Amino acid sequence: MVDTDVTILIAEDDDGQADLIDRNLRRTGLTNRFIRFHDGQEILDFMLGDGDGAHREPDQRYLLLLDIRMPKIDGIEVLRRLKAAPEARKMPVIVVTTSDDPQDVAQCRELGCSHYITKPVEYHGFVHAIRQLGLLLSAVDVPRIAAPRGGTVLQGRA
Amino acid sequence: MRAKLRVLEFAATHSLEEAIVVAIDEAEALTGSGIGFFHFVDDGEQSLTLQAWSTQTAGGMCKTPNAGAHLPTSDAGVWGDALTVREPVIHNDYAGLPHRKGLPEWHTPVVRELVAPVLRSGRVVALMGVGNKPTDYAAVDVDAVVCLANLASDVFQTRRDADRIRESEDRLRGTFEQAAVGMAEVSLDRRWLRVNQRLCDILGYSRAELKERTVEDLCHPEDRGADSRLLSRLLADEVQTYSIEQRYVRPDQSIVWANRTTSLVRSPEGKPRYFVFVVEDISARKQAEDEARRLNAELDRRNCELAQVIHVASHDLRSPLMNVQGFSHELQMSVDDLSSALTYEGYRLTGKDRISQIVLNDIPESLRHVQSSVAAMDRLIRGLLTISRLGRAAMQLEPLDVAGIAVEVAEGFESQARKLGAAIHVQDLPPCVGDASMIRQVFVHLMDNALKYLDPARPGVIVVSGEVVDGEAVYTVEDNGIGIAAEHQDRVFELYHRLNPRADEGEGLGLSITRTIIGRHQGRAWITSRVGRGTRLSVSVPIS
Repeated sequence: MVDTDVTILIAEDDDGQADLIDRNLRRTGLTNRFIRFHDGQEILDFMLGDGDGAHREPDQRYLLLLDIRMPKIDGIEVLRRLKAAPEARKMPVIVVTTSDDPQDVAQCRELGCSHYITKPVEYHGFVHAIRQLGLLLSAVDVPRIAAPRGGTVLQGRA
Repeated sequence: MRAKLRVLEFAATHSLEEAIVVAIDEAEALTGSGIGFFHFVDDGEQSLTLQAWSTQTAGGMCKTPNAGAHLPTSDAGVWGDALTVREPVIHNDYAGLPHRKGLPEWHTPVVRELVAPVLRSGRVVALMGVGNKPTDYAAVDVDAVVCLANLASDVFQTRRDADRIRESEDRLRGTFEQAAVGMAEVSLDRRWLRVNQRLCDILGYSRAELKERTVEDLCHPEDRGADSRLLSRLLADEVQTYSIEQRYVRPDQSIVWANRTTSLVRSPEGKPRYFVFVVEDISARKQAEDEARRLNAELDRRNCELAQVIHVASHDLRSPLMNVQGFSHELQMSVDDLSSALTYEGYRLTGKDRISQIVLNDIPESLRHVQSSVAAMDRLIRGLLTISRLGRAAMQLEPLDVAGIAVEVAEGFESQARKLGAAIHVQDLPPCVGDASMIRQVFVHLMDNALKYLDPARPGVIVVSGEVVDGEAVYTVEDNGIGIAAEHQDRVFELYHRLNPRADEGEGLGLSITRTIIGRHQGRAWITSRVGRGTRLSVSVPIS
């Protein structure tokens, strides 16, 4: 089982899906803290210290469950920017998406996602996949990462 | 000799029949005869045509048969003996002839006669006869008749050959002029030498105008090269003829498509003399081909749209459907939890808190998800129906005051824009021809889209502008919003690409609807955008 002090971040635009992921992961015995993000912008702001919302805490261990098709900034762009940030790049990212487009899979792997899980658009398959995810989480090494350095990373990209 | 000259002189200015009569008259006068005739022999000596008589003979008869009548040579009387002997024949004692057949009742009585055949290539082609000289015919008379008979025959032949050539030329000219295709003779340096009316009609130039121009002058610039190469091959005798589909530019700059078959006329020694063009107007066929291509493209687009509808049905609709399924399972679990909590044993173990948790939190949350998913599916299905209806609805095309429409639409968005701290500026827009309600929808979706993706970090500015480009009105809605990454730009018009599926209102298919409407107006929709800078969405609509 993944360490209980790891905070699980869920970036998923569909409320129902996020909730189902949350509930089914808890049924596997997870007691970790979950934080939900509705789009790509929210998760980037949180991780990279931008915007007015909440930001990540220093020395906290995070793990991100990332959907690809999201409004504003999609999952692939989020992954690209996170992996380009000196500290945030250490955080394990598990892509959880309905897309089984080989191009998406290849791109996510290239960008450095830890795992790629296709959510079946069928309930039982979905539940099974999330349970598998619960098991997988225990095998992921989640490092501590240092405090964010404000917007420097994004500016560096622009 | 003088008689001969008189006949020739007369023949130059008179009809053939009159000239022949003059020749007979001269023969009659020279021999001192009372009657005279001239018959042509046709069909290999089988029949006599053009029976002509001297003026005196014709006058002395109560009636003469038709001059052009055909008489089988076998019916000829003794005067036809010259046909068989092929030499001049003299009958100085006509009444005493044993094989005489008797004369038709209209015939002047014959006392004596002299008949001379005209021989050409061993065949008798004509007979000339004189008769009723008061004294017997002698050798001197024979010479005169033979001479004038040959003369009459030559006049006849020359005249007939000339007539045949003229007739043949007339027919050729008729064919050239009356042909349903354009025809031309073109010089080796590609000038129009001779053209028919049909060609003038096809090319839109008069004969005189064409003669001042070369083929290249009229040929569409893009088609000149290929034609030039093929003409060279024709001159090099590599090909006998070729057909080429090419465009010509008419004086009004319109384009006519023609299929031109070209051949080369050479002299008997093989030297190239001129080209012969046969030009067929195939504009109608080309237009039909273009129309077929356009319809095929339209069909492809519709098929693509259909594929997208299927994609939406299989992916975008399934995702909320899975939520419905998932949360009905969650509800089932809640009900199971509830019933086990309500058993006495369970009630003691779990207590009121657990039941409250289930009833006040778990169940309402599951229901909320079910309801919102159902609403999402409903929105999506309604959106698909809208697009499907747009594809089929009858359009009422009319000239539109697009600026007026855009201002009205912008006013409708005013309160929403104010809430977002944004401003919409509508500039002067060119008119177009379209369906009023459809074009209005396009502006609704474009402005709605711009408002949806504003950047909260700066006040939103939305500018609606327009210009006329190549006969099309191009309208652009530009915002300073969050922008769209390059790799997603070409997908924004796709049916299933919803950048913001949680959009509170609408089904997120606004740009798909826009593209469908613009497509039905034979226009295009496109996007240019920079992440963090803003987006320009443009549509083009024909002006007429």
